[in-house]
Amino acid sequence: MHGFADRLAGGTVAVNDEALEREFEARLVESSTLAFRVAYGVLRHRQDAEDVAQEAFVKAYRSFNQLRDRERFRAWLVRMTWRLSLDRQRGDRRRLARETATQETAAPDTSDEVLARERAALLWSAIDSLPDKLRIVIVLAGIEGHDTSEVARLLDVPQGTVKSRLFLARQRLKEQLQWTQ
Amino acid sequence: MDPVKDAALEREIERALAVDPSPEFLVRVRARIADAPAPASRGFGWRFAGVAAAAVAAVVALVMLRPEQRVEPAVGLLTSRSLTSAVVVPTVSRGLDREPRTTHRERRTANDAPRTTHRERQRSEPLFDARETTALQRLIADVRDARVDLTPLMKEGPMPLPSNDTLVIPPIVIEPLATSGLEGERP
Repeated sequence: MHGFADRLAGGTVAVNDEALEREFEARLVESSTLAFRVAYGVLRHRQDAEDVAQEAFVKAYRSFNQLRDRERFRAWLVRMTWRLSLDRQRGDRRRLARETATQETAAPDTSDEVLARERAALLWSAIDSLPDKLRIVIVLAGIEGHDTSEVARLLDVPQGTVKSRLFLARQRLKEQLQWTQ
Repeated sequence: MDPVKDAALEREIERALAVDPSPEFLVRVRARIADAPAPASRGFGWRFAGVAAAAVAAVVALVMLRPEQRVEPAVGLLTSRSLTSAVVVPTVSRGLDREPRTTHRERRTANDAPRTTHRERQRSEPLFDARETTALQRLIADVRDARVDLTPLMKEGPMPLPSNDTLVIPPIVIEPLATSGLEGERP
């Protein structure tokens, strides 16, 4: 990345360019999967999720002078990715066509695959029906085994709030998902 | 149908979200960042704001402290004390001005400079006879355009004044009024 460090510094005087470059690279590597999965949890389309996560990283790069702290960076990235994903989902009219195409091309081979696809579709449908506050909690808790304290840090809300929202979200999901184990 | 248990639900969600980005994802992000415009850092923003504020302050100070625009006579031509010191030259209209050409924006900026009210203009502007003003303006413009040559005047020097010796001022005599003594009577 030629000029990467220069742009990161952005004219600040006392910033070590090399250190800044290494810091952002480290954040990028360790948070790329997180951002992608947050976007995927909303969009459920690999390419769209990558596009949104990429956009979030570009925004993070522009504001990296204020986001050098690791926890702050991850929390900011998650929230930004979530917002961008929702915007993409709401504004993307191709989604309907994609879902239709997916259903048409999902030619099951075995009864197990049929069952798995149906369960996945039901699960995502139930998650999509949740309010945003419950939805993001259930998605973040399902990513990389995040516990409630980690979700609380990412969302910058108290841990008790996360627990109550998680409980409520699971209740609603269980009401909708009546499949057998 | 049995209700779904929490553990099973969590496993199901984790499985649904266990999707990794493509191997090219990081490469694309790095390439995108390399093409991104320079970040607007806080330091840059403050410095830019400081420079802009200083420029605005300088312009305002220049306009506020600038004396009323006055066209000075050409230094090389009008060096006679009798002309430069005794005559107050009024403002010359732009049509006769021979200043370097300015762009439309510069002219508009100059026109947008702090405007004086009608009352202020009345109070600050000296009153000149319109014909005298026009004549002076034409003279100055002609001198600048070299249509009028004042060199002979410079060679001749100041205009000679009549000697004070020849002036004879008779003493003024005020005679008392002759009255008849009655109040209010005209002589």
